[in-house]
Amino acid sequence: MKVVVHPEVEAVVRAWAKETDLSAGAKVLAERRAAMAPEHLAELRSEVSEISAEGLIELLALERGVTPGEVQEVFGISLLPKQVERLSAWLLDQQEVAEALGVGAEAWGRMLQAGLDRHLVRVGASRGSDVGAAVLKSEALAKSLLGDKPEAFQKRAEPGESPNAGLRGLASAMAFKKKK
Amino acid sequence: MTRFNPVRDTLSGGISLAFGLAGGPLAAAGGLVGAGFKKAFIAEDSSFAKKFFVGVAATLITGGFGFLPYLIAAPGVESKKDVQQTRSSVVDNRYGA
Repeated sequence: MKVVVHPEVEAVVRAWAKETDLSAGAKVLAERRAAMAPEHLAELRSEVSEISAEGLIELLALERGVTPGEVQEVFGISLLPKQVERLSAWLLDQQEVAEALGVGAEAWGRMLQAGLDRHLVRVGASRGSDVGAAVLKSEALAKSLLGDKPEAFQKRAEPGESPNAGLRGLASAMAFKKKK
Repeated sequence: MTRFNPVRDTLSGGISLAFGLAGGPLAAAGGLVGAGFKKAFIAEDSSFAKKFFVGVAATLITGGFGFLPYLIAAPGVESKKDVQQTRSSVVDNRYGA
């Protein structure tokens, strides 16, 4: 199902996506964003966040070049080294994309989360039962990465359960002190 | 209360700022500080050493240390190409090629 947006927004998104170098793409995005009508900025950010979230799913599902090996735990999820490398490339690119759109990193993280939610609702309404296991798995991974996920962090932090408990205790104490 | 979010908090740790301004492994590690930790521990006038050690601690606690080798060395050209190609494909599917 094709998505219809304002032609100016579509033109900017296409110009960004066709750049073969990620930094050049971010530069194009920043230039075109600066020149576009302000009333279309929200739609542009919404589009880019949803496309980036979908891109993360596709990237994690990409089987090319992924060889079985030692799994690494990154933010509480298990990934193969190739997937970690791709994820780090995506993450670094997101920093540039956020800057190009004039959005702070934390706000961009929230937009990505909202973009993922919109994407899942959209594809959920239109796809059949033939969706591949790899895509379903990478959707779950993307949800873990982009959603609020206190489990891994707090689990590690429970006193007596984690070697990092001491650091977590220190963090809590200092955060509490700061609030007082 | 804001919950921990791996991507958001890593992004707000200012990875590119660390790479862009200082470069090198220490800056990369320091750049991984999550937003919550930054607010809790780091003031604007904190020394670089303090920022660095808080960065390492935050990275370990949040379980993001698997990223360190890739972020220090920067992801390979092939992975960047994968990111670009998936994006291009998503956009073509979205609006029509």
